Amino acid sequence: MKKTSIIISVIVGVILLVFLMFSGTYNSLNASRHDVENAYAKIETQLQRRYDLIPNLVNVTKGYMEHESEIFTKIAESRNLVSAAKTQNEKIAANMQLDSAISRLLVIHENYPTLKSDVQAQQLMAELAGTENRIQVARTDYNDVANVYNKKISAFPNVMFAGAFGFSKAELYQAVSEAKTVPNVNLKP
Amino acid sequence: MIKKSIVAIIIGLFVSLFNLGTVTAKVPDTAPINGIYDEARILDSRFINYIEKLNTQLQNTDRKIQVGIVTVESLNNESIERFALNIARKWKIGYSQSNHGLLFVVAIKDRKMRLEISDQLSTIFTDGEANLYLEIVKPYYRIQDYSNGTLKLIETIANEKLIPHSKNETIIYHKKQTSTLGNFIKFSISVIFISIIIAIFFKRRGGRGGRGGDYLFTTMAILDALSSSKSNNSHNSGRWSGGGFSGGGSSGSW
Repeated sequence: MKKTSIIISVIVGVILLVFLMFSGTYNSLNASRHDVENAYAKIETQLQRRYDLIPNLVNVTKGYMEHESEIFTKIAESRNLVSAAKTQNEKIAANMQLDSAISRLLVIHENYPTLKSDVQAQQLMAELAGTENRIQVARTDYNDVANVYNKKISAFPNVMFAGAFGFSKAELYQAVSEAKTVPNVNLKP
Repeated sequence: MIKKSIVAIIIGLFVSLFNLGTVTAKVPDTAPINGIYDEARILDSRFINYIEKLNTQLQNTDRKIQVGIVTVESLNNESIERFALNIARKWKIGYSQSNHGLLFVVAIKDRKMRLEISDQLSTIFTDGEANLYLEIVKPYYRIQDYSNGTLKLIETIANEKLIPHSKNETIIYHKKQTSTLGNFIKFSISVIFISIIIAIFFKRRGGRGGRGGDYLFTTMAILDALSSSKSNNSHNSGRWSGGGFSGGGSSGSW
């Protein structure tokens, strides 16, 4: 009788220990996943801010930059792709395309002195440049927390059950060379 | 397979370079007491006094804004956006209650400058406005009158964006002061009440032969712990304790 109760106690103890270990690891991974989701949500906020800024900016600048119809077409197409994107990967790809078009617009606007003297256009350009910088910072912050999370789920013993609990690897952002430079917006010609 | 590995290594290197969070110029990791780091030695005592007074004044407003100034000779090929963001985050510009922080960075040899604005402050001070304000310093900087240019810039921003002018905000601030006083009275009454209960409890135990003489010591220790935690909290509110910088602001050159 005494022997049986010792065996049962040991089994219960081991089960409890394993449960505590699993729950501790699960909570830690879950917290990391929340950090990643939170960081991604911050990127989405800034991307939405940029998405909303574009129509106003295009309306104000289009008249000054008549010879740049190609870039405005590309912006419109990329913006449509962003709005049509359903999955996370589609959104990332569409926004990367929009990054490229916006960067080009911010660079070439310097060649239009009349545009540079329009205060409203310049303010919108500055807002857009600020948003581009925020997006870049949000992506870097996202990569930082995603790296921590990816390391956690691939470390032993977490790797044994991370997949079973639905902890999949977080994709990292790869900076587009054009998007690395934040364009300056100078008001005076 | 080898091709994939090479691509992975290149991406890894690129990401790690992209993520470098170090400040390359020798800017201190914590904010100086007055919030000014003048490595380029371009700021005069008039400007320094102004910033000290401004930060004291802003601390006592409802908005609780904090201003930091950094001048360096060169950015050493780092982008001014990343440089300013790293300093703003390390210095924790702003107060924990408000997260209203503003940092002005200027790199003389690179002829670059930036106003870094915290997320909370950007609700009243937009990137577009920051870009317009940067125009103020350009005529001064072009003739190398850096101190007066920076003073004019910060003075204008302070008067137009940072110092509250509406009576409502002052009233809110006074109301908060009253409520702080009310909290202090409530806190004192609670401490006295708890002390009396502890004193009675230990006195009774003492009557039964316990270590009743310790009750005074215990009460004093609790009072001391409570009062020190209270004073620590009030001390923290004056430090650089803000944050919430995500790359907002505007950059310019002259």
